[in-house]
Amino acid sequence: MINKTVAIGDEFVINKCLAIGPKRINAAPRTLIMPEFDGGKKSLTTFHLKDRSSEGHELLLCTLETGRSHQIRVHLQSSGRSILGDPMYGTLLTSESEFYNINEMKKTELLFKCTNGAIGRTALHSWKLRFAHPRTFHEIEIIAPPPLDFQNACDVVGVSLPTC
Amino acid sequence: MTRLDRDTSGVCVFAKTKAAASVMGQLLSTQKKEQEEYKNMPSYSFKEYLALTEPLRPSVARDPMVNDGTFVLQMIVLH
Repeated sequence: MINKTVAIGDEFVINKCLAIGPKRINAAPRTLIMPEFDGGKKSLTTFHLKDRSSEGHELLLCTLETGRSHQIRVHLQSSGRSILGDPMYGTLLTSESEFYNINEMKKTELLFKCTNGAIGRTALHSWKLRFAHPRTFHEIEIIAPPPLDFQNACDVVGVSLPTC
Repeated sequence: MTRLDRDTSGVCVFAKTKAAASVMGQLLSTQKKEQEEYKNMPSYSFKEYLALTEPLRPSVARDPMVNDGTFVLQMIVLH
């Protein structure tokens, strides 16, 4: 388990098989992806620590080596680093079944409360996608700059976003 | 062709035709560690995400098996 402190600029790799867990009642989604289950699929993520706040919040650049459902979220949770505002694998101030039965606005409000006003959703952003064009083989890179709410969350917790 | 988890943000790719969806779907699902010599292959894809985490809690990494009361109850019934 990578639960020790990593220095800024360092990389670490989480290599844990993932499998779909048992169905749950009164909670959506009704299944949970769980690490290290028998019959799980090989899953590997590389994490690069970009910045850490004085309180210990971390901004990580995550590179997927495999592409499983909830891979980044579960791998981070298994290392003791839940994503800020993640209602499934993070910390909630209410029970999950209660959370999934309230309306969207209340969910956002609750997540803001859970994250001390930083963000009202899961703080995970698909930043870059790079691939070779299937016909020309020219490299195509698509970059989505982090949206304002993500930038605001970084400001609130005190970490700096990387430049492109 | 790419999926984003609910309430996350960022790059999302759509295809205009079924043919494009098929080719690009295969390309985007092929990750570099699943290819032996990805650098020599004409097709590859890299995906990078930014994640902002809660402060590190070494001893309280949430275990979904015990943190969901419903699931624990279900396990008791099954056993």
